[in-house]
Amino acid sequence: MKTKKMKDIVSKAAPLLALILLFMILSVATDKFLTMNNMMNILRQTAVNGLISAAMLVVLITAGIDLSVGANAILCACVMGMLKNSLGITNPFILILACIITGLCVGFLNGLLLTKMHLPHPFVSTLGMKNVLCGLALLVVSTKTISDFPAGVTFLGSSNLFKSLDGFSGIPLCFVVLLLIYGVYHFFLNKTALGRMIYCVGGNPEAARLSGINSDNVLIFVYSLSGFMCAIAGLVIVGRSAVANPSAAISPYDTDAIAACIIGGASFMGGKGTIWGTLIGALMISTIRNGLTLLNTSSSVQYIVIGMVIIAAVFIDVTRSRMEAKARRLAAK
Amino acid sequence: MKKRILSMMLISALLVSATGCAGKKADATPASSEASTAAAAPASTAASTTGDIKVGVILKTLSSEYWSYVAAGVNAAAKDLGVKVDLQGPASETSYDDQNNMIETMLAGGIDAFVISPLQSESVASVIGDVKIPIITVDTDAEIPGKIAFVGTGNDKAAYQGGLYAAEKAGKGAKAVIIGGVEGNATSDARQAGYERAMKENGIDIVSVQYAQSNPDTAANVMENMITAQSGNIQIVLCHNDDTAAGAATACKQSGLKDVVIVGFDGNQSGVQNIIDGTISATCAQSAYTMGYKAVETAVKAVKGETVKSFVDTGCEVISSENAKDYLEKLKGYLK
Repeated sequence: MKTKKMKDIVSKAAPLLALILLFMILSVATDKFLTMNNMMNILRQTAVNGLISAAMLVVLITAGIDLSVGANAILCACVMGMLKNSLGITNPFILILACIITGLCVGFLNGLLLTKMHLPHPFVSTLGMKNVLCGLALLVVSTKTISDFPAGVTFLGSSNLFKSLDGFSGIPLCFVVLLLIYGVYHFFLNKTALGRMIYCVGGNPEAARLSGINSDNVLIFVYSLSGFMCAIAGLVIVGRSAVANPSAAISPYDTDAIAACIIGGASFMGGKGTIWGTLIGALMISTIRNGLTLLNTSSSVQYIVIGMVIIAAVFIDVTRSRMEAKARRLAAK
Repeated sequence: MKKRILSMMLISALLVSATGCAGKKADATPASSEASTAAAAPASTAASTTGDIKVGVILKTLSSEYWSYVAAGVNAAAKDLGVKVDLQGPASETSYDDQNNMIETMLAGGIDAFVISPLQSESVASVIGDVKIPIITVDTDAEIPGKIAFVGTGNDKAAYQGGLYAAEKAGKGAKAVIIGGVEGNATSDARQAGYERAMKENGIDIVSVQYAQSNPDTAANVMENMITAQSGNIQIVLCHNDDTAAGAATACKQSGLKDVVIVGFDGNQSGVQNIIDGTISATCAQSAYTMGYKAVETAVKAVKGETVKSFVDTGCEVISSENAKDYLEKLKGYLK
């Protein structure tokens, strides 16, 4: 029993160890890396991917996938842009509300497509949705980039806590919010009935159904939650970049998020994955990008390195579960 | 019942997006009768009056603000000259295969002249092959058999001018960084070359070049990392487009980096607005509207058998705080 627990801890801590190793390598490689402000930069750069990864994680736990996350976030940003530019609304509350409603609606629709319209796999429906959203994002702002958002909208992505004049860039608010959300997530996924149901539906849908879980409702909830997280991500994107750019909808936010979840221990088979693992996955990706830019590596090399990290993470994960399965088989004999 | 409502909602959503796309294509068909009298000498084609001339136009995309100015110019020329225009463009500037397919379809449809802005010069040339109609390249030039004219400025030249502006503002011994669009993309490469030339001629070091996939959010990340890498010793930031420049500007502001010259590219409304607000310093603007207009004009001339110039220079200008307000008004006028 004790050894099993030890193993559990080790397997959970593996991504964290990898992250620490990465930190050590980069600290040796460049003296610019391990500074307070650079650490804050990494946190700042993790926020958007972290939020979208949280959206992706719940969906992955149910053995689904949501490819529309990035496009959804950008659409939410563009809807704010449209309200501001076409209707002249500058009240941040209305803008933020519209942003969140848009994200929720898209997520809800994704859930309906999967459950009520019986589309075979969310890969299909959300891929379709991604294209629809890319088009809608361009449509609502008539392909224009929107700038000049009110401070009430941009504060989430752009403010820093404890910023001081002697050079400390401050703790990014978006990361603090990300941590708070992750805390709520942790509680929700582990301590509430609905949270456990999500794991059940992902791990064994048939067993979940037989034990009286209405998996359709759980799935609709999961996709709506995913949409909600995308809306928050859209808000942070507007704050980070100061513009809502509709053509960014096609950017690979979705693959970055999948990578973060998978590195953090989630699986395409569903039923697995933790929010803290995802945080480590997201930190890993932004740390690699940050480190490689500090080393002035070319973009082509950055692609290759990140690709290799994803493959390695999945390989380790697959090997680990194969070993576990083998151990279980041997124990059963 | 639930399902029915749902499917109706979906269908209406589809319709909305479909009409949205159709609206963009906007093939202007105003057969103005006065203009048609001018067409006395039809060249090799069957077009007997100007109203019958059909010009096929394929741009790099229709889903960006820059290209909507080119499209506006194309439509305006079609209206003024009284010709039919079939205007198309792929979903994004990296949809190389889509553009090739569009070219094949359009050339098979019977047009009198073809205006193309190639995404991938070599593959576009091979798709076009040797057709018998006049071909005009717009914005980006390519070696295509049958090409009679190029209408545009060249990204290279516009970027060069933007680079010169930055060099003059920042002065000798400054350090520059470049935030690119998409590595290996012809447009990005040309802008890159222009910036590099301007920096080299003025003895300014380019300390780092990174690509941000034209995404402002990524650009902010890249800029923060560059500031850290160079310990804040950056005086010039050259960007491959306005959105990237906006992202870079927020990063500079957050890191407390002052007195840095940030130059964008394209001269879109938001970019020009950012110059007015003082967020970015300048942007390199090509006359997109004029390009579209002149391209169609040249095409019609060629169909009529008139002589055309092989290079129609549409000019470019650097938009800075001095001329930003006027330029913004001009841009807004185009899209009315």
